[in-house]
Amino acid sequence: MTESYLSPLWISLQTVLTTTFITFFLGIAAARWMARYSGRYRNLIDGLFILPIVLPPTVVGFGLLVLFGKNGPLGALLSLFDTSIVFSWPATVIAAVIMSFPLMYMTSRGGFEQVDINIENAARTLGASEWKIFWTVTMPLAWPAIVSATILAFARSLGEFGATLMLAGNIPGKTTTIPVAIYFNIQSGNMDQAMVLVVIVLAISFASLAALAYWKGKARRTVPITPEAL
Amino acid sequence: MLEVNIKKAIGSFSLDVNFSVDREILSILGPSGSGKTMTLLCIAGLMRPDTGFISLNGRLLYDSQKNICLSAQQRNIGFVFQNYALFPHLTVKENIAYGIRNYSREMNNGRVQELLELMHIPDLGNRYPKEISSGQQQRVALARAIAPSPDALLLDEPFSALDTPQRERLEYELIGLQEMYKKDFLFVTHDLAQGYKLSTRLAVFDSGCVAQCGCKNSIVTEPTNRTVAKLTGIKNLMEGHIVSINGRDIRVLVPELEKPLKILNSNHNHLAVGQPVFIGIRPEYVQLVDQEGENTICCNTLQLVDGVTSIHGRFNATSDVEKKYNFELDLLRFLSTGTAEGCSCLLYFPPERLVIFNR
Amino acid sequence: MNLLVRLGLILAVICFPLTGPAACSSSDAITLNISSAASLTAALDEINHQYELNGNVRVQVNYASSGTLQTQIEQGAPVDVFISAAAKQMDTLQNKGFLINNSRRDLLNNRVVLIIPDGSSLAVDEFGDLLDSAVSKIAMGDPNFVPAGTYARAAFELLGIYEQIQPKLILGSDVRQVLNYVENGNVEAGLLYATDAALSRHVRVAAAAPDEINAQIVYPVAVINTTKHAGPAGEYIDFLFGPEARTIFEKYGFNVIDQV
Repeated sequence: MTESYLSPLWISLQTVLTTTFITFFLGIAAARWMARYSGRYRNLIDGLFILPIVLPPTVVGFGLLVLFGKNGPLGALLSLFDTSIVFSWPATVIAAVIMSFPLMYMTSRGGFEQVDINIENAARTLGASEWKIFWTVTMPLAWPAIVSATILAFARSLGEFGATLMLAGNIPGKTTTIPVAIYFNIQSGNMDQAMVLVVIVLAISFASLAALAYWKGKARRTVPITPEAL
Repeated sequence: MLEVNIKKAIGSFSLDVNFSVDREILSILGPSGSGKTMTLLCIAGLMRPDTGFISLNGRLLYDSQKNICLSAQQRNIGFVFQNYALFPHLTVKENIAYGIRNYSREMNNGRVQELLELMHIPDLGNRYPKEISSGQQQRVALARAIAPSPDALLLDEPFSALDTPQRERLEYELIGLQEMYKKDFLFVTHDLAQGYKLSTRLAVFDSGCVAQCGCKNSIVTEPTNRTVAKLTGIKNLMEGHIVSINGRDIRVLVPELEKPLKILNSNHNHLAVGQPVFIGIRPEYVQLVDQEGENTICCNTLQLVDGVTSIHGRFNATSDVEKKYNFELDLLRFLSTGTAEGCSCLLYFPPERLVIFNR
Repeated sequence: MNLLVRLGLILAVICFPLTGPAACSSSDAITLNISSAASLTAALDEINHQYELNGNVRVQVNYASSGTLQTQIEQGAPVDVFISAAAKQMDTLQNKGFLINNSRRDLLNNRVVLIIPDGSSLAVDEFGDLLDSAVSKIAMGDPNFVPAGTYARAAFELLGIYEQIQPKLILGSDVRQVLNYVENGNVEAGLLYATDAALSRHVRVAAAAPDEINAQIVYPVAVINTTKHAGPAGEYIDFLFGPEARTIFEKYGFNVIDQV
């Protein structure tokens, strides 16, 4: 019986941690690029990055399904290697990354845009490479926004349902995450099981929020990487 | 030596400047929007010109023909920003040490301490920028900029946010720094007095061009155009044309005044009889006299205002013609003016103090 | 940098077990991918457990609504066997050529029933009573994609009262919604499969749809033609029609259709 709690919990944990890790780097990279990009296609690219939270998750899930299904471009490529993403655990990560990326991107970008460009320019005149400037000046100054962005991405991926169901399916023990498990338990009338899962999700959420708030408060005066280290 | 010859157009504004700095402080003077900051950014490598070249001590930093454009990181030019742009999350020591190439920890610490003492802030090493005063922040910004031993130093109105005593102290210290390092310093300001004090040469900017560049004395006493004249404080501008030239003695007729004015000027190679010119004189050289004579003008006293060290007077030339010139005069306070508001008086323009340039 | 690299490595180790390819083609044990209507979850879990004990074929089930399952199969998801909660989705796949010929069989049937809140004093004994003015709101699944809703509408149309009933209808997007509406008394009556109604203890079955309609309600099962395990898939379906499976289905209120 406890298997039905442990399994979605274990799967969700792995999915959410992996997703947050990936989205963290992708979102920051995209935000850094767009914050200082002034080309012609700025609005178009921005719109593309934000698209997943504008569309209903099921629509995004359908789009991913078309892409990774046997007849889609990526799916056809993968079937050459005799594998498919659909109904696999990596699909839960892909769906969650797509859905949480816009939040990470938008919030991080706000943080980067707020950094006074003169400060970055001063670092340039002092001989610091763009990489060094990013890690020792831009990131520390944008850090509170980065932390907020990570919290949002984490929360979004923890609750991700529509796109996951479409692409990864509801395969207990393999791709059934907590939100999917809650939904189908309610559908089947297993209210007790659903409630236990809800409590588990709440516990994870509160614990993570507390940890991140603590981390954010501590980071106000310190930087994750000192200039000398580079 | 820093040589700059660049053009850049943004929207309707076009920058076209050509000047050089040779182991001195050159002050760039000009109103807002004249392209001063843009020039500094181009020299530092933070903005890219459209065409031209920039070279420092023989090293080409930018050359549009040879397609060379070094990044800001490679130019080794220090920059002090108007708002200091200190790293708020690093201590004063870490700010100053930021640009120093990493040798050993002891050597770096030593250099930082040396700079802290040079800028007279030896105890502030472990404070954060928001914990120190703006004067101290500016010192940190200076120290940070010179820490990597740059080949030149650019300063963009760095003292504008300081109060007068702080500003004056830092101005003297800056002169001392340049004498010590003997590098090219380029200083942007909108304040003529500050620019004059700090530098040997001045470059006056107007609408993206260099209106005049040369040693400070000649800029102030021999402006070559109206913009420079106004910026350097020459008031009392009059329009007229040359009637005669006799060696140093130049006579100019201003239509609204009855007699031609006499000007003593040795630099008149470019002047010819009949040429339309401007003449002007600084308010502090205008005198009040009792008797009519050469270069005297009959006026009505409009206003006398008491200043801290001088009395400032405004006068209206009495003439039959409709266009009446307004003249301004600055008199040292302890001298009596001999006139009062509403009374008529005589103004005298000493011939050797009048400036003349093309119209 | 160090911290993040370490974190990444830890994650890679934790998650590695799950990243293997979906279809194992080289090991001894074959895994069958079943896509099944969610309403069969409890029954099928038990049946599959039995099936795995009997042989060395592993069964992996993806439970969702029949519409979602159909879409996934159409987009090339790796599915061996499909069990739908209505004929409509299976028909669509058959017409598009996704099924292996002759593998389709009607597995279960079900009944559409009329339910009322447990404490209701409404006098409703047959579908015709719904025309009564005391009944102002009736909940049922959207006929466009909820199987029970499709057949409920068919029942009304058969009785010739659909047009009069229609203004009173509150359409739900799934079974749970319809049940909730009835349980909370937001509606006077609801229409569902008998098996769905059995999920709630707060509703009472008041009537059943006409037999002609109920006879049409089937849960078809078929083998998808992109399968790599046609043989084991066929054997699995045979097992579903066998005695062990039948017992389990009936335990959960489903009726296995007798094979002629």
